[in-house]
Amino acid sequence: MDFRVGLVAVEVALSLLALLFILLGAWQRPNTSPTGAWAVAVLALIALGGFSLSSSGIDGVARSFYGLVVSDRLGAFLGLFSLISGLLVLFMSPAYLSREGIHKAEYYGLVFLSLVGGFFMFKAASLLTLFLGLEVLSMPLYVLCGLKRNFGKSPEAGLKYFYLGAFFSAVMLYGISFLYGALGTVNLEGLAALAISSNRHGLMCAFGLALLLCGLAFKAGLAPFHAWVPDVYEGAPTTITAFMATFVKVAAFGALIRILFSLPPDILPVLKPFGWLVAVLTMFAGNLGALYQTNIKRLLAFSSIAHAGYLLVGLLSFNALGQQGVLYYLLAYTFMNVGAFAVVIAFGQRGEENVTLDDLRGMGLRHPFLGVAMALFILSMIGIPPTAGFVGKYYLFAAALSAGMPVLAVIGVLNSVISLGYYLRVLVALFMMPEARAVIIPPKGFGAKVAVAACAVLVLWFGCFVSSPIAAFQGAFSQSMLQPGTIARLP
Amino acid sequence: MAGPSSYMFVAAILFLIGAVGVVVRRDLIVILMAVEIMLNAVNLQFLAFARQLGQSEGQVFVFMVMVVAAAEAAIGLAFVLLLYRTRKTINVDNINLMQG
Amino acid sequence: MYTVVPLLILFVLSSVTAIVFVLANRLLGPQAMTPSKLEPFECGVEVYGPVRQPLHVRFYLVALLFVLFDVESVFFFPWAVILKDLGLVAGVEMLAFLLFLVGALAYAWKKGALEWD
Repeated sequence: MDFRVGLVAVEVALSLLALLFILLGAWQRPNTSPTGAWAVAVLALIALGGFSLSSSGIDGVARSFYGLVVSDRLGAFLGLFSLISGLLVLFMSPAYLSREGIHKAEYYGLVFLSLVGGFFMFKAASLLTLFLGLEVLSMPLYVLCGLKRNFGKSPEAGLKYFYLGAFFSAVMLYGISFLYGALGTVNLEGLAALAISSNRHGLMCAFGLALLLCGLAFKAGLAPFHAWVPDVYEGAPTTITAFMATFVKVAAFGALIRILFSLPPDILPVLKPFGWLVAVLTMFAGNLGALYQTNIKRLLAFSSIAHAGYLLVGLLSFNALGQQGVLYYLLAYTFMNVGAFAVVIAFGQRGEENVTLDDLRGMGLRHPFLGVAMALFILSMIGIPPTAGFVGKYYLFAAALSAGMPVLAVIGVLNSVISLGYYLRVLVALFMMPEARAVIIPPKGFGAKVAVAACAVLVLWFGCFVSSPIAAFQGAFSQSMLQPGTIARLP
Repeated sequence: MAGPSSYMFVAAILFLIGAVGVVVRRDLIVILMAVEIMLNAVNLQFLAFARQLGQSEGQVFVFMVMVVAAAEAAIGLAFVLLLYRTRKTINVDNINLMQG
Repeated sequence: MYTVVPLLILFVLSSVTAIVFVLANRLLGPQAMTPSKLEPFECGVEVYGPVRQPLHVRFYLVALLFVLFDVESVFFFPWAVILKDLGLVAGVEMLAFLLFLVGALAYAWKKGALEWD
């Protein structure tokens, strides 16, 4: 029998805890906070993070469950990133949720379920596992987006996300069904036989692959499928926005990596021009859209679209630098984005989701800790040393240069310059404007400050000490279930 | 005996009906039904290919799609109910709190 | 292929006949509408209120639960067919699956989704 349950130990633990939290939620008395559930959730994520970290050093690839699940270094790293994102989000959750009156144990259950979905995507060796993981990841998020039931924008965000998500998962499935018909299997290894030509087989392959990538591009928030991002990020509870912005991006890019690197090398020249176009469109859509925003959540949403564009640049170079860069940037992006949203939460009040730039005026001087941390995250998003964002961006654009795509690298740098236009507005509002009339009182929540401090330290740490994570990420791709043809072709 | 091409043709038509329905219709429940039609088109295509290839992989996929479709329907209905309770409408044109 | 031709002819003929009759009725027949003629039923119980009343919310809730728990049973049929070949592992797996289903049912029960009052 081919059941090695050890390979999915993390997933099993996460799902059992999710069930436990959801049941706890049903028996939770009204007007109480599930502090116990929170503590268990935090401890569990720390323990599982340690487990993932230790297993990320293991060489080799293990498969089980009739070839549905694969365990390799790439998956371990992506899982680790997700756990970090989840842990940081958990730290800022209790204060925010209590403030909004939605502190239920179910919240933790849904977050854990979403993590389970992500983990199955990272361990997918088959399009079936990938699809199921994506759905398990998405469905709790739909609910979490609409969690603030009495706040008009939140159900609307959940509804929009749900309808578009359901539509695009149908599109993706249609693509998978074409690939199945053409290749006769849904295993990722089967993709190596993919050939695009003008005969029936080739057309089915091309059509199927295109639809599959469209579905993933939607999840990753790549143009032209990015229109949902600002609305959903604005309406969702801010902790969930932070979770989506980081974890879902990691998951979607993880899936893109798995699929793109399973393709035969001769497809890549066909695919690259499209990817090039999508990357350029995404960067411009994000950065130009952000220029006009006054709501900080929408601004960060557009900036996350732009960051997805930068990530795609690294992915498209298909070389070692790009691979390290993508992983490094995903990690850096997690820290700076969660940190920025944690600061947004700290500056907010009950029901006051519209933290506009006007509301932030002078807050940097009144609350120096939060102000300086926010400045650090913004600098990292712009890509200024010595922050993690700079290192990540450097690797991404260097990868594009060494892959012979100088124009793409130049467009990326140009976009970073455009992004100064709105990032600096945040800094100016924080530090150089007179204080707004209605003074915002930051909450007493201790956890959010822990999250902010942790993110700030990590952004600086990964900006200064680069070599050991880069070395670790280097092994991630070579020690993973990716096509030997693609790997051998790399410089 | 009809070959896979005819099934693909029917599936394509079904999928298009569903996709157009999602884009054109304004009633949230009807849109949900349109998405289900799209998923059923996918199921049909999977079954046709599984039959043609003589394997069960496609049929297993169909089971999973069915369950996912049911879960989606549950979440969708819950959202529609929530929205109807607070706003007394399930028309997409009235879902416009966020713009810009 | 040619076996369907008679069917097609039948289909076309019957459609044309039906359409012609309905149109002829509409065009040629005298039309004197009185209020009682416009009522949905010209005999029997008098109609009161609109027919398309919205269903009560609890129907949707039941439908929602039904859809979920009903569809899960698709997994039981293939499982039951090959249970003998797979042995103990499959049994344990299905028990784990059932654990989650029972958990979900307990949640729905505790939340009052099964009440009908």
